[in-house]
Amino acid sequence: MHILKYCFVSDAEISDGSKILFKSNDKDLKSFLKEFYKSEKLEYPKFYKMDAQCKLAFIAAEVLFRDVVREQYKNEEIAMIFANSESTLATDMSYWESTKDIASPALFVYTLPNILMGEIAIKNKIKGENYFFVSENFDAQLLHQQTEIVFQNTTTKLVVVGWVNYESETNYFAKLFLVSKSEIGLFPFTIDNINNLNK
Amino acid sequence: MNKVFIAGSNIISSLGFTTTENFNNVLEGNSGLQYHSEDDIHPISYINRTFFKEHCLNHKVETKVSLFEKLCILSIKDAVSQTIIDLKEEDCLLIIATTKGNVGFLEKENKRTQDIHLWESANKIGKYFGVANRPVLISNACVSSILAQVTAVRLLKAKKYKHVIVCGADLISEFVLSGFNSFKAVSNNPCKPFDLNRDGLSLGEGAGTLVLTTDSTQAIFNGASCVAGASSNDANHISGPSRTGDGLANAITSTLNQAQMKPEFISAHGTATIYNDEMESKAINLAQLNDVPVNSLKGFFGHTLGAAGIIETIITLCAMNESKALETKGFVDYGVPEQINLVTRTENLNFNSFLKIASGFGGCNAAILYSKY
Repeated sequence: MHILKYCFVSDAEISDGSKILFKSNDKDLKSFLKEFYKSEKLEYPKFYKMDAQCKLAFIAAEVLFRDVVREQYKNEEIAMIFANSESTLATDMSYWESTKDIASPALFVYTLPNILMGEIAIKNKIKGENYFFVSENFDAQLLHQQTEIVFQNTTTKLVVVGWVNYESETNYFAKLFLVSKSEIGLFPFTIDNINNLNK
Repeated sequence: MNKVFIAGSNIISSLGFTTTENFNNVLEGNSGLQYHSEDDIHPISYINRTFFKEHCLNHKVETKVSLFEKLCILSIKDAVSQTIIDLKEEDCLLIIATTKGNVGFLEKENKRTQDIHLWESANKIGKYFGVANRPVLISNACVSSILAQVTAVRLLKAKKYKHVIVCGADLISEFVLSGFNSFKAVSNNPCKPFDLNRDGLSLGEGAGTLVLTTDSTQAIFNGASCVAGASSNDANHISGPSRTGDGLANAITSTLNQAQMKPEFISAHGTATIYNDEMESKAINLAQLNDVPVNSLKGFFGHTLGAAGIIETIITLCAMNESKALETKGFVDYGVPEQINLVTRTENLNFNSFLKIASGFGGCNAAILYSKY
């Protein structure tokens, strides 16, 4: 297992590890991501309907899949293994607030943490295995173990491993790793390497 | 490859506090779906809170935990008590599956607290049992507790642990009920899976626990084993099932390819929403399983969300053990586009393997296969 690419988003900054790809002076997530969306001329109207956590995951995945020869992999050969600590608490609170007036189905659907994998799947045509875990902190061991058993048991060739956690407009993190089953890549996908990159 | 057996099980729902109580009620045709007061517009299957309190007193959960956590604790406690497994051992892992856990807390006070976090519930449940390994929590919409089983069987086959305890649980809350209502997905009547006049789901709550182990000496259900499972994504829509059923068919095919066998029975998701049941009939056909007897248990338990996959797995394990094909309660007239072999009344049927399937928001699908072979 090897890490082919990775992408981190936090504090109004998008990086691919080696270099900063985008930086904004606006620390608020929504405006920062909108700025990025416009500067990249992304055309995906569904983006505007997403909640903040999905937008965060979506943008990180856009950067992650950049320059990847997607055609090398069948839709069913790409899996997603994600985790966070908040589940969807921020949207849960917004949704519950909305019920005082009229419960909003558009908000309710975003009260499930796995929806962000659904959004990434739709955009990138990913039809393989998908699992969402909730843990107190970023847990490299859990993500590593899950990735390993998915490769062992299925026809998966590529796994998008991710930690996407939105707490507030100024406190958010996305860490995405594109992991290949092959022995070629940037680094071997090991718990130590994940933790080192995570520092 | 080592086999994964079942050492213990429990179901807590409106139909009882043990697997046997729940299964016997289903055999007798008793549904947990009820209107609970004159104000209720939807029948729901919820745990009678007074009985639940009495049950808790009898089984002593003195620790200060929420109702959701208590539900998990009692379910795990009963399932594990049937085994000689010690949760404190290093070779034991606990997996909790839920969609919304303690979300009902927001109804009292709409703010962020530590107690509302899903990982905090998992930690409290783990702490109660003194587990050696940090519990794993899966929250993946309505397929949560099938994914937990898939994860468990793979970890056991890879010899990462000797025993994995899987508990799936969810409670009915205003939060969840209002949400499904906003989607106009809830029926005003007890749900009618695969029926021509089906008009939505009925909500339910409960917990189910399976103790999975590689220790064959502890096997129950006549040595039935958990063979393999899989998940998939539709990559189509975040709140609507796929129009073709190809996503669920992919999860089924992947499971059958890993297991190298065809199931002799299917426990469908069968939520009784127009689109879910339609999609499932297509998926079953795409997977070329249209001749296999299939049922939905939603008419008994309602849709218990994160708990549905495991509760329905346990009931079907009992049915396989007793050679019974359980009826699809609520069904009257055939109403899905593709032909499937729907079980409409409970009858004797000998089957040696079954597939449990489900789909959920976010385009997720999952399947798991159990077999007597």
